[in-house]
Amino acid sequence: MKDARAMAFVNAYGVLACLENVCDLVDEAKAICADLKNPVALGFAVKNGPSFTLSFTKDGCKFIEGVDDCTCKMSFTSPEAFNNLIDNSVPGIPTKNPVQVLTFLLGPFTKLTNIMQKYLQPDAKDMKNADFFEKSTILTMYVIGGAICALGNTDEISKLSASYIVDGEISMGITDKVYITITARNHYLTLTKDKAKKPRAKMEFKTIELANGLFNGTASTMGELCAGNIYMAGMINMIDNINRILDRVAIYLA
Amino acid sequence: MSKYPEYSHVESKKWFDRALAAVPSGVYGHLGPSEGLFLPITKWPLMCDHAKGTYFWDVDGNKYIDYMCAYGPNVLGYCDDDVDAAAIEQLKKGNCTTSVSYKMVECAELLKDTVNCADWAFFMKNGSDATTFSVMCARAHTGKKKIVFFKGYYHGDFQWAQKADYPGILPEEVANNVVIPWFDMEALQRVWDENHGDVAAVIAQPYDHGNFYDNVCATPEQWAAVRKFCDDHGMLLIIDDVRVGFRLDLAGSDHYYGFKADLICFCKALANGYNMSCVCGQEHVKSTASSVVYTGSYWLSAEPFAACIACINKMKKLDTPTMFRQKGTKLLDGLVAAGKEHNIDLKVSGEPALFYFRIANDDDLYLHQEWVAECVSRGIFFASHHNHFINASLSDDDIDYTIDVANDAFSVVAERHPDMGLIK
Repeated sequence: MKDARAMAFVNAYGVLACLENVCDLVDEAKAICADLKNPVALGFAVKNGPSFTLSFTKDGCKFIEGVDDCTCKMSFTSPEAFNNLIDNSVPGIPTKNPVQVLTFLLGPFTKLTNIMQKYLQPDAKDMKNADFFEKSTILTMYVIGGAICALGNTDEISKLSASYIVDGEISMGITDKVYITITARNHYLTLTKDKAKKPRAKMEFKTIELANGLFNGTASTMGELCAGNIYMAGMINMIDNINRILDRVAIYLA
Repeated sequence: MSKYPEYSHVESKKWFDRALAAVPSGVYGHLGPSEGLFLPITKWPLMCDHAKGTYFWDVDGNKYIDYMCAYGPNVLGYCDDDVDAAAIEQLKKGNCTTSVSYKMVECAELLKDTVNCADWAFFMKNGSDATTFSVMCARAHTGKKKIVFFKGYYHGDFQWAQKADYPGILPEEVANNVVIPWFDMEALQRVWDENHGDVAAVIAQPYDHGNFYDNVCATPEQWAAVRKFCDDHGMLLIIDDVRVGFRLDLAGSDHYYGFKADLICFCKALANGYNMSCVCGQEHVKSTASSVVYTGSYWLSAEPFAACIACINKMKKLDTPTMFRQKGTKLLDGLVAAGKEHNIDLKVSGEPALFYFRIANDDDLYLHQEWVAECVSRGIFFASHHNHFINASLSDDDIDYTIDVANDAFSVVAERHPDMGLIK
């Protein structure tokens, strides 16, 4: 049920794109960036797959589409090869500035992805810490937002859901904690990690605990909607279809 | 300040909490807060205590004029004396019996006499049962595979009628569904050509009464073109009249639009809430219908047949389609005029008997959802996303009262949005 190319886009736009938020939210990651001697813009070029750059500076990390401005680059022969980087830490082929690729990959990049993994695949003990719990949930929301867009644009079944989404902004959020915006244009979805300016539809989870429960599958979206713990308004058919893609996200990120 | 105080739902909430503990989602499906879009949930009644005529009362004792009519089945009025009397009389004689009651025959004969395209009737329980049987008949009759749907379709919740992205649905289960825009004859020809003629049927509602968007009525010319295409290509034409059936025309919505379906599916208005559905068809599909293996434990129970007979006879006596058109038009004219008083553009669409409306001042339904919620919390049960239904018990006084409450609810919404140029 999973398509390797769609998975590669989820890994790019959902998982690795979350590094920008890890570097923004987690002190340990901030410190790693602050210690960088020079900026590094690591490009990822995947044949028949995503092409993007993670640009690291002392101020943090930024996800940029394309590899035009990268300072070093890894190339992957297929989406499967790229997915192997995420699943098994198998790197691609350095095709630009290999020394910088290897130095950065084995040093700061690995440290940062380890931190990200700690938050995205948390153990129960860490989650007892309220601050960790909140950051873990927020980062998961960013991953999910990226994955929704990635699947809506590449996964055949999710594309069907996206085909029913009319143009406009969909706001998703956890009340007073974090908001993301998914913008649909001609059934193509893009993520903005910020509050929507003029959303046509809104979905907001009442508490961080509820959001976490929904993300890890211990709470039911339908049940919580019925219990009044999820606020929805506007073009609910947009949210309906986003929720269908969300079901696919669970399969891809399981 | 609002003239009509808002209802409270303390007991509703208590019952709903109990439901949540015992039933997935508390109330699932279209009658529940999720699919029913109770936005926000606090404004809606969650549990009914009793119903009569065009009204129901929730467990807090609040009274509602109901424009959803249980999403269609309430066609004469809740607990209609004549229909209930017929059903109760039949219950005393026998309901679910080994040897089928003669009431089935009477019911089938009445449908043959009433529905224009009906040379026979085949009974089941829900709309999904009826549409599924029709599709099976079409495939068995033609020996072909593909079924053409019109965009925005809803033909029930069985797997074949859902979409590939719905939870629990396999792409293989909907692989033979082809969706085209409404009445797009070039697309229909393309489907035929691309599938080398392996197309069994077109299935469609009488007109586009989808959710969240303005409904679009059909024309006899549009249907004539589809009918001709099906005839020319040996395809069956299935009309899913589950929702609209008997509200536009007692002879079937195909008759209303001037054509004759091969198969037509009825459910909601068939028996005023008693549980039955049926497929009526033309003679040339009858032997195929006999060959399709399809039955259920309660499908030939006698009580709903008795109710159906009483219901159809009463609808004929009252000429309910004419009544619904008049009542629907009166209501909508009043609501639109009330909206104008507040600078609110209430756009109505679809057939007046099954009207759809939305506030068009914004393009995302926020205002509309707010207004509907304010109406509901003052005793006028509308839905914000779905077409509505008129029933025969709705009086002119009910309509006048509805318009007054709706006007009040417009004021509430206008007052809440001083920046939108609305008039309180």
